[in-house]
Amino acid sequence: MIRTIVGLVIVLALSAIVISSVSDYSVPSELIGAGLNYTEQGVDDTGSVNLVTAVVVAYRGLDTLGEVVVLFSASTAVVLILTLIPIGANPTPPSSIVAFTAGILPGAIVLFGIYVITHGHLSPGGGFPGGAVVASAFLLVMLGSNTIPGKTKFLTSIESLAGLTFGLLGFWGMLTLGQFLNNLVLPAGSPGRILSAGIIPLISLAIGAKVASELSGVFASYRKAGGEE
Amino acid sequence: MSFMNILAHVVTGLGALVLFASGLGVFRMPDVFNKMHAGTKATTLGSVLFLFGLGLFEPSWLPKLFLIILFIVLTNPVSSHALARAAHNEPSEKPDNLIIDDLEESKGGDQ
Repeated sequence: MIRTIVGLVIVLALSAIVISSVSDYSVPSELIGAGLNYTEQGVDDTGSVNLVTAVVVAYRGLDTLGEVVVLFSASTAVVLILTLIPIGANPTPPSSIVAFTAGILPGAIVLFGIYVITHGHLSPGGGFPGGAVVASAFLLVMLGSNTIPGKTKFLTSIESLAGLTFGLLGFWGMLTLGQFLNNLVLPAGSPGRILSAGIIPLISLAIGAKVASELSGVFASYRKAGGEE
Repeated sequence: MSFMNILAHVVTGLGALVLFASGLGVFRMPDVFNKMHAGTKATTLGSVLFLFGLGLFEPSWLPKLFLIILFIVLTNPVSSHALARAAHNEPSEKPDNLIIDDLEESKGGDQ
């Protein structure tokens, strides 16, 4: 009861603070500044029909490189903790229903994930969500099997290669056009085609491979942490 | 308003109602298996009805929506099944009024 009242008071106080600070805020009726530039020139600048991807990968590519590093350090930390402190529950064998589903669905899921990754510059999606979809297929395969994954040398090498690709694509722009992660080291092509938008598809592929292998590595280490008891 | 449009409103509304009932059930049911019953069975039906209703609004979306429905019908029951078995493995989650437990018997039997 007291907790409920305290929570209510905190929520009301925070609402009052927020309302008082935004009381003279008015929503601009038209785009201004960078937003206007992106929407007006985004397709011409980058060749990407999906402006969100144009902003994330081309205009703000360095931020995305930072996000990839954040994800890398987070997954490394999770794997490290799980290696040092096994959580110690034995994986139970899957029931026949789970095993059957794990036999039929992963192919379709991987296909969809690859679609999301490769069409990042054309439709909603891109490397991060697509990579997560692909990783979920690996998780399903793992849940449907009795075995504990062995050494994941393969996954870590894919991960490193993908990260390296992202960085090298950035330096390619620096060497040829004098700008790190310049999108137009490859031709922009005709917007709307799958082979267009400069290096955005390549970066999407790199991010997708990196996210998928990282998340799969995290799942695998959870499974191993449970099984070593 | 055409007949299709009215039907689409009815079907999406029904789906939303089922989803609401599912959410209410997760809050109101006493133990983990009852909560799971509300939270998984009803969401399958609710999402399927809702997506099918959307397809009645825009018949050109129906093939894609059918694929999504197929995916939900394949995955949602399986994931709830796996969750329920995981909960069953946890003795502290066993409700007091659980008398007939076929899964426990089958485990003690031939497995």
